[in-house]
Amino acid sequence: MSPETDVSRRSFLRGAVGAAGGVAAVAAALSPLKDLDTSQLSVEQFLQKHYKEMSKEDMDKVLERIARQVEERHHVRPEVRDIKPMDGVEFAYALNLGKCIGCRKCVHACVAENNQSRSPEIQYIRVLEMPKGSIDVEKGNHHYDRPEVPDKDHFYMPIQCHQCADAPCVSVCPVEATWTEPDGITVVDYDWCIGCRYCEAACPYWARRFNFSEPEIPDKDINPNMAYLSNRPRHKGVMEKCTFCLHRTREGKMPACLEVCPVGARHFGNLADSKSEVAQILQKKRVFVLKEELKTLPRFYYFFDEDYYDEEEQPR
Amino acid sequence: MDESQKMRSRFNKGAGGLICGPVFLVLALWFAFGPNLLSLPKNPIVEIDKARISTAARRKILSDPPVMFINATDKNCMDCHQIMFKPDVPKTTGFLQHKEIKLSHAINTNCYDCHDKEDRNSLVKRNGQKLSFDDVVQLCRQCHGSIYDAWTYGGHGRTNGYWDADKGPQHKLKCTECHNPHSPRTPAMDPIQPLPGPNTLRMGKQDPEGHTEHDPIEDPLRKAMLRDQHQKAAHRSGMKKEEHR
Amino acid sequence: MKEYGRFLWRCFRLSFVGDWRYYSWMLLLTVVALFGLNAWSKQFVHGLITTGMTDQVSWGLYISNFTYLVGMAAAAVMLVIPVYIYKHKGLHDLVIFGELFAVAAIIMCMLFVMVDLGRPDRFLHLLRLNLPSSMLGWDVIVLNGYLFLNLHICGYLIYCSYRKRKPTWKFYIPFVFIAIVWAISIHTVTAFLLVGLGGRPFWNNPIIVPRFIASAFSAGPAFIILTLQVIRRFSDYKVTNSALGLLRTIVTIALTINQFLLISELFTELYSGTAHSISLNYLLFGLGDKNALVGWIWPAMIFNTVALFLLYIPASKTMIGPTSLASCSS
Repeated sequence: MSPETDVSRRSFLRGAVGAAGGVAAVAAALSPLKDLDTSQLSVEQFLQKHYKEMSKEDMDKVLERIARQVEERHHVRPEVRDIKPMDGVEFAYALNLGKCIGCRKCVHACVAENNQSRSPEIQYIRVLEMPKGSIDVEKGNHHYDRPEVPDKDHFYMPIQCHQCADAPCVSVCPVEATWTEPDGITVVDYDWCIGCRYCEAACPYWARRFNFSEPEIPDKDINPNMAYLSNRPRHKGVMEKCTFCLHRTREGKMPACLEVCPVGARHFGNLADSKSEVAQILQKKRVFVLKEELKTLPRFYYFFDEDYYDEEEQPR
Repeated sequence: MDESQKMRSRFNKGAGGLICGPVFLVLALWFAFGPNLLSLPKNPIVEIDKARISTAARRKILSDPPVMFINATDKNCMDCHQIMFKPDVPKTTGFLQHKEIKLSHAINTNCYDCHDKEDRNSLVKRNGQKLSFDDVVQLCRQCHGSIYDAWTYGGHGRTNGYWDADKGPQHKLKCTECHNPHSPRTPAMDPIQPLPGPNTLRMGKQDPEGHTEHDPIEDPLRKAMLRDQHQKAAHRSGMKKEEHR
Repeated sequence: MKEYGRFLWRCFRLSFVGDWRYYSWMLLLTVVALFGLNAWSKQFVHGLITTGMTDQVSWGLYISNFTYLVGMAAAAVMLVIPVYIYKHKGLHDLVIFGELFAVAAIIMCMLFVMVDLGRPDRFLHLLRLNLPSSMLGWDVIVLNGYLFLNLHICGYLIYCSYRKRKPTWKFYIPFVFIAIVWAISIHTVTAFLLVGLGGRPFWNNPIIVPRFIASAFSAGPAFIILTLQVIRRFSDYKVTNSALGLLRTIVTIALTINQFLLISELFTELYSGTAHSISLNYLLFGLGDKNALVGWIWPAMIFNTVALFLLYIPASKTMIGPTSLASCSS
């Protein structure tokens, strides 16, 4: 116990100057907050439940809020749905490395379909230009820029989220903002994610993307056909990734990347149906997965069949 | 009281505040009015031409009945070929119409290998059976049986629309929607210009050649392939020189 | 209860009592903290783009500082064990500093995680933890648990001293023993969260966990040695040489283990030279023109080794300052 000292008016005023200065300094330090966009900080959103705990009424209110916010921001009235998985469906994707020419149309079709940020740029699919003789992704070149593709001495391997059956990103998320749905798709609840980026550290395929700042999407490029778990516009501070276009595929459609592929390298469908494209490819072609030793059990299979021909050996 | 106690009590009389106060005020002014040293390196938005990511088929094909736009009108094949252009041995170059056609389809050197001589609205199989243009796949199947089998189950080619045929229409692209039947390697296998590569946050300068070889021990496979590449490159430049002569 | 409130109020007022050196130091710390607050406000407004992190390097100084501070917090146990288990006389009056230091380090480390979050406004989502699979979830529990353990122990002991009462055995001794085990667990769980990533072969090896503990038990007591020397210099508190000597011994042993594990790590990766060792090659030698970390790792390893040699020289027993500083770079 220290002796109580007298507090004279002079010393009190001096102390007050110090305290006032301190308060002013703290207030000024916090002054950047005046530019804060509070649209994502409402009480409603603070109290919003986890996707798995929301009732239909809760979800309808949330979908309405999302549609309203998209309309306010982008002047486009979207249709935002919560699409549930189809029964008896397990998705799989097969990609023919013998056919891929590395044109990157899938990359940009995906960006257009999924309302990804154009600045800073987010692209779920990354095409690697691989040297022949290796499937070591360390050897892939992400930044190839040739006047024409394919280059004869390389093959092309697009990488996107493999929707792993035993996904490392799912097991590490501290708040279960990401999980595997019954149809195999690994989804992210953008309103639950706290942005710790542990899943991004855990993914062996570099499939996950983080919004380091508020995404910028030109209004004319907004795709109004949205779903809660896939392509509704995200906000800064949350993770996102390829969802096999679940807003399309859960209604029976093909994903956007497949529909633009000019060489038909991509194949998609229901693995549970033995007559489907992918099921037959898995039976008939020699498929493999990347980083199989990590036992992530991806749903994305690669295979090679007849290769791009060499013009000198077989002139037209 | 000793010296340190005197000092402490003086500070207890608020002298500390007199020093801290002004320092905090200067700091407050710095925060409020000082230079903005924030770095928000956002890349410029790159516009992608929507035509380059269209889901349409690469080639627009003829269906049954075949109609072509010739001499500023829509014509049926037999409109012209009823009365003329039915040579016994058709020429494959120097056309007056159909100038874009260049026949280069392996052992097929005769138009009648696929087109019916009498009825140009039909295709014809090797056994003489006529086929409509909608069934062109059956024609290609004659020689490309294994590719046809793969196409049937979905291993070759592309299916647009719905993966679940119960939910909506599927458009499985026919052979000629990718391959030109007269010179099949185009346009399906033509090299094209790739769309722009990634330009992600704080990416910095990247090498488009992507040299990442760091191994001190040489990989014999890479060595052999590089040697083949060099030989081919030399061959190619050698060939080009000949063409110029 | 009211007395406890008064006690807290008087503690608060006491933090404004001191001479000009104390005020200068606190002023400096406050100014630095305000710069940090300002920077974080900008981050809160604009997002983590204001940091240097990207999708390729998504965890940077925030997480590395968090890891460092968890280790430092765990190191308080190195003061507790000698006093409560081995009844070391010299450290008896100093163990409270270790526990207070643990509180400060844990608060700072949790703050580092808070500022690393993309959506800190959603911190309440952490009440719905994804256990047992998420190591970060376990980390939230063990860090908060350690904080409350130490807050209770320190709060109780200081309050008893304020009331001039002898502390009751059952209100603090069991907690101290729990804290000893808990301290090891906080750093182990932090190591687990980094090690349990199959997709990152440089991190996915078991030697990292003991290295974390060994380096924490060399860096933590080293920092405490420096702090105690500052306390000895600037206050009337008695810090004996035997106390510092014991801490020095702890640092020596822990640093020896740490360096041995470092050699094992280097050998394993560099000798077998698989594609997995590309990460270590990047760290030590850089890859092409990408060599930002080389200038940090070599001085760190060299300082550690020099520190170890300094500690082994018998003559240096009287000059512990520089030794401790070097070992901090673990």
